[in-house]
Amino acid sequence: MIAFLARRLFGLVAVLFAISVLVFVIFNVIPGGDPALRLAGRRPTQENIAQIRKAWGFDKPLPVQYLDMMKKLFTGKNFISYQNQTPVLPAIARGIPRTLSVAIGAGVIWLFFGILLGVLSGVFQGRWVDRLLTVFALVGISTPVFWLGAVMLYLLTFKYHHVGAFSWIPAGGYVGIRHPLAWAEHLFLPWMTLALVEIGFYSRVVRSSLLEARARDYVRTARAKGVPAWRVLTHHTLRNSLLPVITLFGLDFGATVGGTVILIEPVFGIEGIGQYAQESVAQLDLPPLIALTLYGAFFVVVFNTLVDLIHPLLDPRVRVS
Amino acid sequence: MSRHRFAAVLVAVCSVAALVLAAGTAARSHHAESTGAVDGGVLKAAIADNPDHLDTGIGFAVEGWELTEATGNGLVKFKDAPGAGSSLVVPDLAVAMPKLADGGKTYSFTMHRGVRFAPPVDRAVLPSDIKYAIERLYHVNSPGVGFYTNIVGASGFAKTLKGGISGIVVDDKRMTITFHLQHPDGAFLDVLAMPFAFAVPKGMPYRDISTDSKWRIGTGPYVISSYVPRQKIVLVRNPNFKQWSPNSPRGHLNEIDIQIGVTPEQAVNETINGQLDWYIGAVPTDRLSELKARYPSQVHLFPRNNDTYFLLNERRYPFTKLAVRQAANYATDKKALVKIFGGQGVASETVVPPGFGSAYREHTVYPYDLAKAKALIAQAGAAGAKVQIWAPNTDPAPKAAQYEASVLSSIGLDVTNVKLVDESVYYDELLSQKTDPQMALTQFDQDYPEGEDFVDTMLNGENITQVGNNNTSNTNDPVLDKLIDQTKLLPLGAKRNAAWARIDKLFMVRDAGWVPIMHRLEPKFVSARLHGLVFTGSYFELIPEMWLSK
Repeated sequence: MIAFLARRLFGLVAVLFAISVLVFVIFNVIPGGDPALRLAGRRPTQENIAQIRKAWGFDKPLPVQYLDMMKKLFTGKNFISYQNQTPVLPAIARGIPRTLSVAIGAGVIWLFFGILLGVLSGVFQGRWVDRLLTVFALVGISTPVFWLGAVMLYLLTFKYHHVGAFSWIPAGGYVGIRHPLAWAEHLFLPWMTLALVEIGFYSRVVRSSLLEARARDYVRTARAKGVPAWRVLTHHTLRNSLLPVITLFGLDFGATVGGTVILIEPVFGIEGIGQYAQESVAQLDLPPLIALTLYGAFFVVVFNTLVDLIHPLLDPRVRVS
Repeated sequence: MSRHRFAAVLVAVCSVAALVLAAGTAARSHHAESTGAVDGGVLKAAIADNPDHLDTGIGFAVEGWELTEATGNGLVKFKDAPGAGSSLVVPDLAVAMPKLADGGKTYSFTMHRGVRFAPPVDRAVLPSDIKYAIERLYHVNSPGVGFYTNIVGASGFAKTLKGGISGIVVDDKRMTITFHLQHPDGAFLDVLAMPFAFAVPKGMPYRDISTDSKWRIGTGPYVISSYVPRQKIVLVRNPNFKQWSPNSPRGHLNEIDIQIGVTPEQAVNETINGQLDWYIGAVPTDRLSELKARYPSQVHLFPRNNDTYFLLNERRYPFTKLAVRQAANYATDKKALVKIFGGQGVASETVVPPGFGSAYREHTVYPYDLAKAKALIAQAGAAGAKVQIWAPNTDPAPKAAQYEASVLSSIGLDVTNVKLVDESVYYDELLSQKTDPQMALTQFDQDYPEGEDFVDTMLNGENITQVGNNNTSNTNDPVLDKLIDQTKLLPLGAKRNAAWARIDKLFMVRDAGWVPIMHRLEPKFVSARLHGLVFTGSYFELIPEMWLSK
């Protein structure tokens, strides 16, 4: 176990290093990415551009600039945005609770309903329930999440906002968890948007796993022994069919926290990590770009590791080796 | 005194006092009724992203300027008036407009006494604070340094950052400040009116103080009491502000709460729901028609001092030929392009926008005439010449470029393609000689509301640079250059404005280095209770003029 963790830790560091170098290099080779020119404003004098290069260290060799940036990132000193010279790490720290609020809430919803609908679809295989849920799942999988968010925002907070059922839905934004009711109200639409897209996918995975588990010998034996169908489902088939779901959820959740929220947060004005990332990309602002990319990669790698650790607990046949 | 007599005197005194009180109240309420403005209230506002800076020495975007205009003052300011009225420069911290001497190279001001910085600095403003503000621009590598290089000693100070700028002479006891320029420049008052030259307390650090509440103060009617990047900005009344001139209003609102990170769509919905009064940004174009129909009194289309145009690079064939440039102008229907931009502009052929007052005179040197355009292409022998048009990838720029491509194809040019470049890098690419497109869609918004800002910046051949080149067409006509240089020496006024207007037309006649399209309008949607919207080219809406009905 210790060796496994050590290997994973080493892998994490290697991945983060590779990503940081890649982002840094890409930023420095793409056209129009000269921060000195941007900082010098619309009427740059040559002297001002030269002085900015010197003051910010843009005249140093790229490896030196990279090391300077990493030092500032990890010490937190003078790690500021090129765009508006505000500290980057406090902005990320403020955004993390918002992003986690979106991701965790949506994750709970899509896991619960994905499993529920997948089980229903599997139990009623071939019947109209199964067919209806299959159509629903395909629509969900095919719908772009940012489009769905924009449409729901328009319809429920503007066009039909006067309808009683929707009048309580706010038009976007975020309220801290200290006000739990308002917090949940503001996150309702982002949760639904993210969850609706994922529910379809998860219900198909659960359905497929369930059908496979039902075909196993031990299930046939249990039925032959007279075990009720509901008990066969809950005690035998469901647990085994959830193994791939758990694995998938770990990967998806990591990816959501680390990146998918970039599509949702700008639509609803959440001002979490995703929106910060989208703005940094649009402004070609390297310091937050590097910090956010590393943050995203960190979560993906950590959740991958967690999934690998949990798997043997669910399935004793799998050993961490 | 007997009891009766005492009572009579008391009643008389009380009566007089009551009459005086009633008269005063009537006068105030009459004033409020006659102006309509109501004092008080908290304005609920929002913005999409952090303003670039709230440091007057560094900020150079309109979102930041909108806020710092309410918190700071300079020697002079742009008049608080809508449209062309806002291009006038009036005294602010200065008692009066300056005395000029030495052939227009010396500007002498006397400042008001008793104007105080907000707490925690909490002291009287001195002329040396103005000098400090301008010198600080060089220490912080401000994007505004280029505006002040004409001051004697500025260039030397820029290199050494020692010894101060010798051309700024202050006398704190007499409250005077004098500027010595290397050569006359009629627009010097405009650059003094910009936030770069707002008074800041001596000792303000040589770094961005946007998030430092100890230094983020000024002399204006409001102070930014809180700024949490990506979350909120709060403006409250400056407790030290006492109005010293009619040009420096005290403001009506008690507080302005600005939420950061609100998208334009969200802002529209929140305004309709009564949760938002004012959005620091434009209305999404796809919502505009519907909002105009349902909430006509809350939708405003304000004129920006902006040029939107296609540049024709005079260094790249076929636009090296005047006839081809003229043909492109004859072939373009500006009204069609304005429609592509959702009607958010006024079709025009001028360089100087209408908001510049008498410096603007509409002309139509090239009325829409396809036949004439074709003839000019044939005459120039440019039929079949290959052209690539650049545009940013944000809607509706690609559509505008496609339209122009079809127009040029119809008159005989071979438009190979429309190259779309991501907006985040588009203008950096465009303004570099290295990339140098043949033809491109671009725009320019004012720095200050004077003809020199547009004409000299974009049409003077002496201002062509390798990077950050705002003379995007590489126009280099010695006749125009000479006229521009001569006009720059004139003092502000009707003669100077007339000269800019003449050069504007002459540029199109002699050079035609642009296909001008329009001057943009800024669509705004505000709550029903928000009034007092005065829109200027420099600061867009003026916060001190806003008020909320009850």
